[in-house]
Amino acid sequence: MSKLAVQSPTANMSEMEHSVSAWLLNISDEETVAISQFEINHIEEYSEFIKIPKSPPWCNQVMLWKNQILPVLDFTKSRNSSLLNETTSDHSFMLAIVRIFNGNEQGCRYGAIRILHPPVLEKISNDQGRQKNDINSSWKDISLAAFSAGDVIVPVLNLNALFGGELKY
Amino acid sequence: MSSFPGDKKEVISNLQSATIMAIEIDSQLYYLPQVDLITFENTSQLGEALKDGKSVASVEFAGKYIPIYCLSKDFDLLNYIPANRKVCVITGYKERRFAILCDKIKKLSYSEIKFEPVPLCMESHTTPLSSLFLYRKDTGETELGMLLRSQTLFDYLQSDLQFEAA
Repeated sequence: MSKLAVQSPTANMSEMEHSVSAWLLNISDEETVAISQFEINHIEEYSEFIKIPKSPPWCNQVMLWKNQILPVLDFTKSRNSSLLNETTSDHSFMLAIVRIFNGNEQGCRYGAIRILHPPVLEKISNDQGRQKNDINSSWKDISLAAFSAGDVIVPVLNLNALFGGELKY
Repeated sequence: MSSFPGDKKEVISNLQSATIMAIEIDSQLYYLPQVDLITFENTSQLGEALKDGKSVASVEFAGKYIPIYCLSKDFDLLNYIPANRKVCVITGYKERRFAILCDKIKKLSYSEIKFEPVPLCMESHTTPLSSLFLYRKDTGETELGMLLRSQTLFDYLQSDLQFEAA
């Protein structure tokens, strides 16, 4: 298990008026998303998941962590993926344990997102900023902002909305 | 533990102690608060399925035949009764009485259980689960419990369910 240093949870990426840093997360072979640099708690390899029946394929497992129940989002299980019905209990996955701030300064909750590679902290300049409407995917409605990285438009996710059930994936 | 943002499904109160029924379906344990249980009985005297397109049998209760539903451990609706379903659990929501089948049932008492709703990101589909909770086993290990409520079961069984192929 490797842990990443984090700073005081005060930043918000709702606007990209300044140069900021964000973690790039490879959540599937095709998709890269970003979250605020302050929202990753740590990265961890984990293998003990508990299936929750009748949940969406991309969020049908939880893990127990520090006496809490964390939902585990796994976007490698897209609708057409061969992994859709895979039982994952025998596998170890790399997870980003993320902090979910609700904006009222009353602490945070935690969740987990499966990632395929260690996240990269990218410094984003003003001229990389894009409109949310440029996001051509399910992420548009739950993104705070967007920026370009090479040829792709990367959505900056609103974790509160993502874990709050607002994603129509 | 705390709930996730926007959680709105009502859960039972967080209790200092709770008596709940452990319901086993194909080696998977689910839990039902004792207050939601009307009674249970063995499956030796079941009647025919009602014409509701979802029940697999019926049972006489308080002078009426009520539907019995058979679920898999993943809550798929079955149109047959597996051999290991030995217990008929009668519950109800408001005036409606219904039953589900399970393999075993056991009464348990836990102290200081804190229930929390199923995270909203897991609720895109209908589910009979009401909440999740952590409990400590006799061995000291912490385990996850999945709580059913009579209301969530009723709502689930009233939804657009289809029989799973045998």
